[in-house]
Amino acid sequence: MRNRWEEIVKDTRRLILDIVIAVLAFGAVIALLFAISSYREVYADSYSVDSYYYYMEEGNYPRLVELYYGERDRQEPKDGEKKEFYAVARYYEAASYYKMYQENGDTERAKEQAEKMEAARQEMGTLSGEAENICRQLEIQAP
Amino acid sequence: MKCKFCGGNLSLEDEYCPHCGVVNEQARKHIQDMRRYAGDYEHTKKEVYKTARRHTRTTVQVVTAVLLLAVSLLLVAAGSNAYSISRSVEEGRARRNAGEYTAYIEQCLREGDFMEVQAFCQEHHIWGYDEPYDRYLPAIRACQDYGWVYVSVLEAAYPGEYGQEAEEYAERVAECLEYFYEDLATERYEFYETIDWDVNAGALEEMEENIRFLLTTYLGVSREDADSLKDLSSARRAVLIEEAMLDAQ
Repeated sequence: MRNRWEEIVKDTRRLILDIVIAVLAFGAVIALLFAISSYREVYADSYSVDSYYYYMEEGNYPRLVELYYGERDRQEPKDGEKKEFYAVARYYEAASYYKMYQENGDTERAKEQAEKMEAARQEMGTLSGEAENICRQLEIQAP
Repeated sequence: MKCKFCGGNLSLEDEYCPHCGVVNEQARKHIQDMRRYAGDYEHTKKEVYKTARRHTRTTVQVVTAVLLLAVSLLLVAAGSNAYSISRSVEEGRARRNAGEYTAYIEQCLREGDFMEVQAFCQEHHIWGYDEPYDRYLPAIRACQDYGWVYVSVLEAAYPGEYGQEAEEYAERVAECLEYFYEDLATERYEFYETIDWDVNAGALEEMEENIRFLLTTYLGVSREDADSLKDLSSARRAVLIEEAMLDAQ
C-alpha cells in the first residue's frame, strides 16, 4: 500500500516536470522569435517601398532624401524597385542644390550638381518621369 | 567430499551421488542456498535498476528544465539589448576600420557630401568623441544637424496638399537651425586638442554657406537676414523666417 502510494507520488512528480519542460520549451521558442525580431528591427533596411511611393505621390521629395540617407544599402541596393527610388532621391537632392547654387552665382558647383542630376536620372528607370515633376516643383530647367 | 553411503568422490554441484544415486544432503543445501542467493541477487538488481532509471530520468528532466530556462532568459536578454549589442558591434568595427572610415569621412567632407557623412556616422555609431574620429568632431556634429535643416527648409518651401501652417514650418526650421548653430561654436571644442581644423573649418564654412543659400533661395529670406540669423534667438529666427515665407507667397 505504502509502496503503491509512493509510486503514485513519484509518477505525479514526473508528470509535473514533463509539463514544466513543455511550457519552458514553448517559452524558449517565443524568446527565440523575440530575439530574431529585435535584431531584424535593428539591422533592417529601414523603409519599405510603400513609404517611398507615398512621399513621391505627395510630391514630398525632401522626405525621400531623408529616407534615402536612412538606408543601410543606399550605396548598393539589393532591391531593384528601391534602386529607382534612391535615384529619385539623389536627383532631387542634386536638383535642389543646382537651383540653389545657380541663383547664388556659384556656377562651378551648379555644374557639379547638374552632373549628379544626370547620373541619377540614368538610374531612375521606370520613375524617370519624376525628373520632370521635380524640375517643375523647383521651377528649374533640366540642365 | 565423500559419499556417506558408498564413499565415492562428490562435488558440491552433485545433488545426487553419481556412483550410488543417494541424495547428497550437503550439496542439496548448497544448491538451494545458491538458488536463493541468485534469486535475491536478481531481485535486488532489478530494484537497483528501477531506482536508478527513475533517478536518471528525473535528473534529465530537471537538467532539461534548467537549460531551457537559462536559454530563454539569455534570448530575452539578448533581444532586449539588441540595440546596445549592435552598437557595441558597430563601435568595435569602427575601431578596427578606423583608417578606412576616417578616409571616407574626410573625402565626403571635402566634396561637400554632408548628408552622407551624417548617414555614414549614424550607421556606424561614430559620434566623433573617440579616436581617431575626434579629429572631425565639429564637422561630424554639424553634419548631423545640417541634414535636418535641409529637409525642414525644403519641406517648408514645398508643403504639398496636406501641409501645415507657415508658422509651424518656421518654428521647425528655427529649431533645426538652433542645433546647427550650436555645433558651429568653436569654443565648445577648446578641450579637444586633436581636431584637424583645416578640414573642419572648411566643412563648417561650406555648410553654413549652403544653409544661407537654402534660406534665401527657398524661403525668401534676404541675404542680410540670413547672415544675421546666427546671432538671433530661436524665437526671433522663427518670426523672421515665417515673415519671409509669407512675403514670398
